[in-house]
Amino acid sequence: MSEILLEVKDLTTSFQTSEGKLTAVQNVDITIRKGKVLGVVGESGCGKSVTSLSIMRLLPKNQGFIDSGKVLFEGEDLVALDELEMQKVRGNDIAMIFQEPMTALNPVFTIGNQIGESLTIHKGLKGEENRKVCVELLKKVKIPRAEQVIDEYPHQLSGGMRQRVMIAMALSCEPKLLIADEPTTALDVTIQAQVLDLMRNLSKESNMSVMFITHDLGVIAEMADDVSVMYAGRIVEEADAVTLFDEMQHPYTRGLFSSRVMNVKKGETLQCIPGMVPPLNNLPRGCAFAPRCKQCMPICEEKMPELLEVAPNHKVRCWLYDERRENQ
Amino acid sequence: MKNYVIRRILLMIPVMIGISIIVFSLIHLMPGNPYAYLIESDARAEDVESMLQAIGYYDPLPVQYVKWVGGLMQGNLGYSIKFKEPIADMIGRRIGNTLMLSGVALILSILVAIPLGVISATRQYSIFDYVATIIAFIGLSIPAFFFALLLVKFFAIDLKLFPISGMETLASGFTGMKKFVDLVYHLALPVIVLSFIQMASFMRYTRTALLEVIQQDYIRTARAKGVSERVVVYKHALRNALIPVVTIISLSLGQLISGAVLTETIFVWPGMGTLIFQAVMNRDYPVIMDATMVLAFMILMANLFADIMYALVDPRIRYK
Repeated sequence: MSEILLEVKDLTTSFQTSEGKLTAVQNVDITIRKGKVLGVVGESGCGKSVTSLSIMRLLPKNQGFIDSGKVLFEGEDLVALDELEMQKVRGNDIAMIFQEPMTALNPVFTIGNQIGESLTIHKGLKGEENRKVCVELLKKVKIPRAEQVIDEYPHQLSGGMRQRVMIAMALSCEPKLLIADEPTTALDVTIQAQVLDLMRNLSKESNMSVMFITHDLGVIAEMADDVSVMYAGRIVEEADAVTLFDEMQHPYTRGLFSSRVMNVKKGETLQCIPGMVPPLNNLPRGCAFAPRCKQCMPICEEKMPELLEVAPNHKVRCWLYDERRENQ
Repeated sequence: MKNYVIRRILLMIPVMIGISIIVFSLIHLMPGNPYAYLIESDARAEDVESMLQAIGYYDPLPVQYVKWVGGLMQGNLGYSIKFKEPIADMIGRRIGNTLMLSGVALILSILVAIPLGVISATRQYSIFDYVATIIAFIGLSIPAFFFALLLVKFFAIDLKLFPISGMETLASGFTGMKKFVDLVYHLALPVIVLSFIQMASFMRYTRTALLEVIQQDYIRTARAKGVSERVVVYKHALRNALIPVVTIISLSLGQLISGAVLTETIFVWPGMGTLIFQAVMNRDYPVIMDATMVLAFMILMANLFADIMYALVDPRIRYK
């Protein structure tokens, strides 16, 4: 086990909405190792993005709140930092790229201006020097005509190019952790593969840790060293990638895996998990997955199972693997 | 960018032709003879007839139109029926005054409204926001002439802070700095009337645009870079929020210039507004037509300026 870079401990995040308080993330623990890629998988609305925004402390103001928990980054609790200290962490130690490259860049500033901004803020680079580093960064993310692109505006670039620009921007201050929130979801498949390749190589090169959020298990298999599976705001299974794919335990993980298109043979219908993610304001009393689970037992509807270690470095939150279910 | 501006300027030509036809037709739809004033009661009918013949009163309308437009193109605006003075001179004396009044009002309303809109948006639902909103709604709903009369009543008549009307203290003989201060005193009330209404709408638009932009993904990107909140608002958000605000400002330029007609009349400001008002009262057709054309041209120029501004703030337009 290599050194730990970031540890999320018992994080609970909620939103104040017109229908009252909704808990989007509940008691989540996440560990990211130095230089490794952690994949976070789950359906839409399971709390993946909220977890990442909580780490960055970028929850929408006056709406999202971290209720409890710690985010230890190299031993320092980010939740306890004030806004000014947090600004020094963002973009510098932890950078983030988002799902929608089409809207994630500011339409009225040039590419050079937007990449150069973090260099100015965190490294104090200005003028020619700043520009030189920007061009290098654009070349690093394999953007052709980097010298021209630097003076262009986002609307002149394609989606894949914009995501590369986002990556260049994120890498500009050589962060120790890159949070990628579904970075390839909005791209078409060939571009997706290129961007994934690029991210993997860049992370290896600079020994940068990556928290990779996606709903695509295929991408996880390609990218991740460790995997956390989330469902309805909780971690339901976590292991290193090899273990997880060989011995996945939780019915939800298995459901996700068998719903992949490539598992379908000719003439078969596509497998899927029946039902929908329960709304956050109406979670079942027991296990949140129980209503959709094929192996649901009476206890599943009564009590939320705990996240238990079933094998070294493999944890599952499911009554199937919890011996105490007989005693309950 | 150059092509964009050239295209905009070329587009103005058909618009000007259209406006001239409309202005000409509307004036000639009015019944009656504008020269009736000039005819002495004891003049002989044949003399009147031959005079009207000589000045082209009986020419077919298309001929009259071509004569008029031909004159305009050569810079010959004709003569006022009432004052027998070249119209070019009359307009020349007044156009600067109108530009001064509406220009100062425009600049003042932008300078006040945009910062207020930003503060309102960044402190949404604060007391400041509520007070600004209430004042803005008063500004939007109060008729300009009524507001003008209220200001005259309080500030000019009761408090005697500002002069009631005009552009300078008559027969004061002020020069230099004193003359300027005197002008500012006379400008104050009409400028307040003209800018208050604009201010209200500019402020509301700035607030709305900024609140919308603040929700955008690229604002989150900026925050994720470690940009401070102040820079997020004033650089990343405001530059984008200004795009719709520039549109609104450009649309209001016409309103500002035509609004000046009423305000000028109330404050007896010697500008284009009072000129047109007097010309209408005197049935001074050539003056009405020429002054309207000049106003229309000013509005078109203002729109051209707005289009250029629009391209400057939004690169997506510049490169189309």
